[in-house]
Amino acid sequence: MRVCSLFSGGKDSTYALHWAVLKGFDVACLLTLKPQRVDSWMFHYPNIEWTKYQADALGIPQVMYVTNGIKDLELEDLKNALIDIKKEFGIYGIVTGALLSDYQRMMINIVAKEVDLKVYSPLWRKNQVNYLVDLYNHGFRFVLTSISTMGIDPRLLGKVLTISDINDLINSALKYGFNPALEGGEGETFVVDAPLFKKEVVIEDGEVRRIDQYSWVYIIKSVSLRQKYSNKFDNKGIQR
Amino acid sequence: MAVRIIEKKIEDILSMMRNPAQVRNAGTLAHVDHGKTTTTDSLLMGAGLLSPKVAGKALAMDYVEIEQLRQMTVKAANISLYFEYEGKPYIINFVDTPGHVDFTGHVTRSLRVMDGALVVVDAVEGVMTQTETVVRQAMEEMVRPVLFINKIDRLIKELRLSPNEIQQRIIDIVKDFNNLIDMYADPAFKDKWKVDPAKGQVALGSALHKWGVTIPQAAKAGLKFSNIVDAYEKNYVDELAQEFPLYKAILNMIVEHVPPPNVAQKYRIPKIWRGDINSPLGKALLEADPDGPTVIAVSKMNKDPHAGLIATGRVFSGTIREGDEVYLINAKTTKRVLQTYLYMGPNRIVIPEVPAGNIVALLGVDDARAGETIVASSIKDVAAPFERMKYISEPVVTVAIEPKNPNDLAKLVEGLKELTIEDPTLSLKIDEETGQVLLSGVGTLHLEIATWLLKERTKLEFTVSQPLVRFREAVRTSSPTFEGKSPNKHNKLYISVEPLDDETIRLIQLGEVTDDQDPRERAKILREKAGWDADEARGIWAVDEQYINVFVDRTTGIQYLREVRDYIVQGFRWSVQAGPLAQEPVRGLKVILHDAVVHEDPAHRGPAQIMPATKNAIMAGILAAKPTLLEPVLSIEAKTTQENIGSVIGVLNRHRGRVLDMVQSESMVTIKGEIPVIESFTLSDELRSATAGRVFWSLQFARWAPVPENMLIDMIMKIRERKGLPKEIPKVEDFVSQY
Repeated sequence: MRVCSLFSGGKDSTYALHWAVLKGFDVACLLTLKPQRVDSWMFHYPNIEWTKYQADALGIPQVMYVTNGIKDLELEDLKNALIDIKKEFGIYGIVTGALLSDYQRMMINIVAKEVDLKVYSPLWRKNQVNYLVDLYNHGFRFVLTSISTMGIDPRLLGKVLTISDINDLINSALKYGFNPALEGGEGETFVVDAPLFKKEVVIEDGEVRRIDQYSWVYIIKSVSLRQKYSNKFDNKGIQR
Repeated sequence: MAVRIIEKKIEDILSMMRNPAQVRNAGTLAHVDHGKTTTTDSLLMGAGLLSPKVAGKALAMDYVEIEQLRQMTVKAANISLYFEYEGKPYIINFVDTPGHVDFTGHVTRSLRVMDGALVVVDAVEGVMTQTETVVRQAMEEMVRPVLFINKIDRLIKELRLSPNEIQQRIIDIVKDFNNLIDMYADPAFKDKWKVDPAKGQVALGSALHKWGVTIPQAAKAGLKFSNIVDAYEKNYVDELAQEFPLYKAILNMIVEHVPPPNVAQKYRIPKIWRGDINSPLGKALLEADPDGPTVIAVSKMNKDPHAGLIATGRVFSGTIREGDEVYLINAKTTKRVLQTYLYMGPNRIVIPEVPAGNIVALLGVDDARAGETIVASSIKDVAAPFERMKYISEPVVTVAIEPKNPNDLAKLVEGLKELTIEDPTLSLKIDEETGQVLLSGVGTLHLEIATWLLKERTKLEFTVSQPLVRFREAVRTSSPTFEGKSPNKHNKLYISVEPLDDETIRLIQLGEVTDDQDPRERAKILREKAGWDADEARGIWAVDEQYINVFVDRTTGIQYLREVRDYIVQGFRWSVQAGPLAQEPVRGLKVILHDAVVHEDPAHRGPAQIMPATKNAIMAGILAAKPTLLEPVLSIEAKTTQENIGSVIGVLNRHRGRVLDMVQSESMVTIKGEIPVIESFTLSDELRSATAGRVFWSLQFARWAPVPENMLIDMIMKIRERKGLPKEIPKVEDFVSQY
């Protein structure tokens, strides 16, 4: 089936894409929405510009739409984008990375239904506690690009997380009562490597910015792509 | 010196305990150094120790050395005496009350289990600050006082007063004492409880020289003040003590004027117990019914090196037996009583049961703390606890304790934990990151005693830092409403803060307004006593009893607010633990929630989102409401001679002290005033040197007072520096983000 993957560059949308490809979906394009407003209700903001490098690394065409980021209008923007893409790429469904949030899932479902597209949210209701560890074990590498909660050490920002960083993060999630998969907007990620990446994304330069005691962002300033030398996954089995 | 041992069969002891008319529960209250210990010692020596008779076995010893006994009394929570009055035997329980002012929290807990108080007053010094404090506390707990005017020998030997002057001095002291009763007693008992020397409610004597007498006794024997003066001048004090032993005068007074437990409980229970007195349980408590449900109020926890934790308390209803299953109301746990003991002198002896009206020691209720209410597990769902303990003192001084050998840290902490179990007015905090051990108490002397005890018990080497004074942060005006955003920006709380009124602060401090109270009852009290708006009072979500702050919800119909209520309350409690100025606890703050936006998705409104949102708005509010520091202030009462008034006032003035009142009596002048705790560390040395030692004084916690405006910034900076905080005081903008 030909689908479009909603893609923000973060771990969840990358993982959903991974799932879709392994399930044999034909992923025709990545749809990335770029909000003008900072506190987007639905879509990732920081570093959204740099997703085009990820799309390059994946070798999948990317379509970027600007949305105004206002709660209800944002959905209207999504709807318009989907109508366009459906026409252009001839897709039957969309794949999303929504994990736990009923809100995200329902909103996307409503819009998709209106434009007659099927929705696949493979991560929804997945085991939240082990999720980050699973990602790591599957070869996903990501940096933390924002913090919006009590309990995450800002020193993790901009760093490619190691398994011990991830364990620390999960422990503080349990201690401070935030979602161990960061699905409540506690932190955003930017994927630098994944099994489907043909190249590795290298963040050359970036800056940590404090918004308040519990809100921090990492602004990526320059990025390059590097050839992967030891890729244990080959991409032969992937149909396009 | 040795003490007589009186042997009785266990059955005889038990039959006395079952008859309330033969039981009295009392304790000694006094200003420091007025002679509490010597008085208790002379009672012990005179009355003798009761000991169970073991059939067919000779008693190992007939006498106990007084020194040995004194060591025991230091640790005993209670001393039971056997006394025969007009041919009838009595058990008189003397509940231990701590001698030092800094332990006034102890005094309150001890008062709960006694019906009568022997108040000891030094004949020279008269009624002092702590006399007033303990009498006030006794009145709050409905404990009937009798008076012992001690150290009459000083009037004769030091002040060289004539018999007439001695009589006048005693009349004056009795008058001062009765003024206290007038001031603090429940209206129903004001007149009844004033002491009357002619009725034998006042004893005079010298605990040091072991004589004492009440006026009716003296009149009967034809003893006059001139005879007493003679006894000292002509050296026949020993004969005076032979003929008028102190213990008889005092124990007579207690048997005659302290009510038996069943009589006292009739008027004490409605005042000190929180439940419904018309319920079956209430009736059993009023009657001190030994067949009713078991209810015990714990006054003290001690650690016995062999047995473990021992709880001492009073059985108010029912009969406690070995093996009983009991429920601890405050600790919310069920325990089995392993052993019940009776105090015999300062020793505990195992006894199969202890009926209502008596003092018991229990083994097996480790989770209990002083102030706990223990009930039969069968009534755990219906039993109300005794009224919350009301502590007048607060832990305001902190020291850091460090073992010389780091390997001793665990042992040291264990020893400290034991101390805090026994004395809840001590508080222990261990910094998780630095491992620093911090002990807080009500005063420097309190901490000195605690660290001394620690050394005695653990035999460890450790260092104690200079005392640090705890401050509070408070606001002086109302703030505008601030928007507190959650870190993910999806939740917004609209909050303002303002100062709580003094009356509300008082009600919380006294435990009349509490966190777990029925909201309607709380609203009623606040409306009637503190003038709160009815709607606002009903909107109270949380009362922080530790630092005295209140959270009020004034919103209506906000979606999902109920789901995040607990997180908001947690955020509030977290916020008031450390204010923005110097991360000292916040005191007297009313936090008002006006409006809120809560995200519909539970994943976006967890505690890690809502707590910071709450804190941000509260911190911004505090900073915008003219925040200040409060420092603990002590009241001082100094007695000195006419010519030294200037020197004493001079010392006070140099330490930001102020004089509130000066009273002249005979050759002495009493100066009453206040001095900040932080200024009081060198006070002893300075007062002594300024007056060549001709001054005696006492200090106790008075209130929290704002630091003078011109010192505020400096003091904040000092605390921040000490704590390693950034030099800049946070600004409103740091908490309310600019987006």
